Amino acid sequence: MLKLNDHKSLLVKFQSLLALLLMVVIFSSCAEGFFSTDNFWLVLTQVSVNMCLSVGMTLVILTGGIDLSVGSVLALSGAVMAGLLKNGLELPAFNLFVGVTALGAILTGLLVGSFLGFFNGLMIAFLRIPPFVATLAMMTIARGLTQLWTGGAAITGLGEVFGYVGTDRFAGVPVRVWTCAVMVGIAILVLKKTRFGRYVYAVGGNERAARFSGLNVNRIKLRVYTIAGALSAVGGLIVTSKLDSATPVAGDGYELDSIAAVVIGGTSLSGGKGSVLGTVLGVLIIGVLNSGLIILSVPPFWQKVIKGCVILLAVAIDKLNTKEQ
Amino acid sequence: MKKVCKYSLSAAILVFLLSQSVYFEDLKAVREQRRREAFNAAEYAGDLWLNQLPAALDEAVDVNELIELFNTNMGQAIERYGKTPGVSRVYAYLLRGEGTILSIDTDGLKVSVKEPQTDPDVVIETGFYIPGNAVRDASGLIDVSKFSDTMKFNEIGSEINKIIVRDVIRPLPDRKPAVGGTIKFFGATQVSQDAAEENLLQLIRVIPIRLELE
Repeated sequence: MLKLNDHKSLLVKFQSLLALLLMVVIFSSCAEGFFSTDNFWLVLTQVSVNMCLSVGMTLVILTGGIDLSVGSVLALSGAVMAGLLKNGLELPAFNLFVGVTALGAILTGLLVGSFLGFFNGLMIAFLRIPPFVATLAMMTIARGLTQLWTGGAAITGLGEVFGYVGTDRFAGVPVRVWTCAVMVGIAILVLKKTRFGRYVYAVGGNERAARFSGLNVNRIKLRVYTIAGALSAVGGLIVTSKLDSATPVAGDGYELDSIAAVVIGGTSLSGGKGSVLGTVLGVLIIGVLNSGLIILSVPPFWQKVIKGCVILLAVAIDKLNTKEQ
Repeated sequence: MKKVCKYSLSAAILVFLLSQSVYFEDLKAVREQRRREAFNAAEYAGDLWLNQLPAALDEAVDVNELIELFNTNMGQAIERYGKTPGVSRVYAYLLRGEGTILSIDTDGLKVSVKEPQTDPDVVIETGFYIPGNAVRDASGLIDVSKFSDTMKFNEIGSEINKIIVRDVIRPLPDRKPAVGGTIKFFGATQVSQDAAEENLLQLIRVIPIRLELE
């Protein structure tokens, strides 16, 4: 028979899942059309971008860091993809026009995202700039570069091939849902089954101890921020492909949604504790909350207030649990 | 041996990805093609002004009839003559009329189109800045869904307004409009479907397309 403490630890372990189920039950009973196949796919497609960003953010927060630049990196990566695809590159000195295919644009965008993440990592790991400051600076830099690259206007008309990721389906499931499912799957495997995954937890749990035990903490951080940048670029790909356009304001405020999802999913902001699966639940909780509130016609300002309260509640529960432990 | 295989495979994948990612063309040829394909809002608006709008003016509603409908049955005015490029509560109308100029000021030419000709019913805008897209929308000649982005659609409106300023408004002082004189006009106006309730129908603001002074 389970003891009271076992019950409590089970409750703590599955708190995010229980919260999600509770919300589904509540919205299903009071929001007409919420519990339907159409809405199920709608929620999944709508959370796909936040899912990509949040998986990267989970890795970063697990190391005890934070990445405020994910939204801007998303925008710049998406803009680079769109700009290259639409305009190619002109080399007047050689009278040469370098056209870029959808594959080339996607690869370049992913490289740009990874590079920006790598740069964040360099600043944080080697120059010891606090993650909050370094990524805040990158947030501004990347946003400015996006505005420069796009000239302040949207780049549109990117074609069917590029639109495949954002708008098409594969085996009945939207490609963007497949995309983030693959990202989630890889991240879970990496964190659970690889040495690198264990190192990430070690660095976040106690950086000093990790350093003393011989781990190359700087390299781990560098990799984590690079991965977060790459995943932001995947988010950029999904957004740009879905909208058939890259705008200079894309991804504005997305960093807060992804941090919220990670926290709601039970990952500790001080690092070392949490999981990608928890983040997936956190993203779904935000998605379900958004969907339910919209169906219930709750005014947008109140939606923000309610979302904020949910985040606060999640952090408070996390703090209480940590204190008890 | 293992390393050689690894590097060879990586290089092969890289070359394959690169070959599928970029293609090369002659820059001059690409620029020329782009120039030909580029959307030229001024050209588009010019063609519309010269070749399409004159025919559309045959459909212009008499201003007296329109004012009457505005005041008695806005729904019918919208149904019969109103045009809007999207979903909006503001409709554009192509209209024509004849009246007496009551005053000429910075606001434009205030014209009475009804008897007794004591109060102005319409003001024909003569400022060098034309707000809105009354003529573009009232013409009903442009389908917004045919444009890949709304910027191009807006550019057309702006270019049409420039033509109006250049061809209709700027030459007007040389034609010496005078108070008390008769003016015949074709133009466009935009009126909200709530205008009657908001008491905005005292003076219909007309963007001129064609003006004849007598």
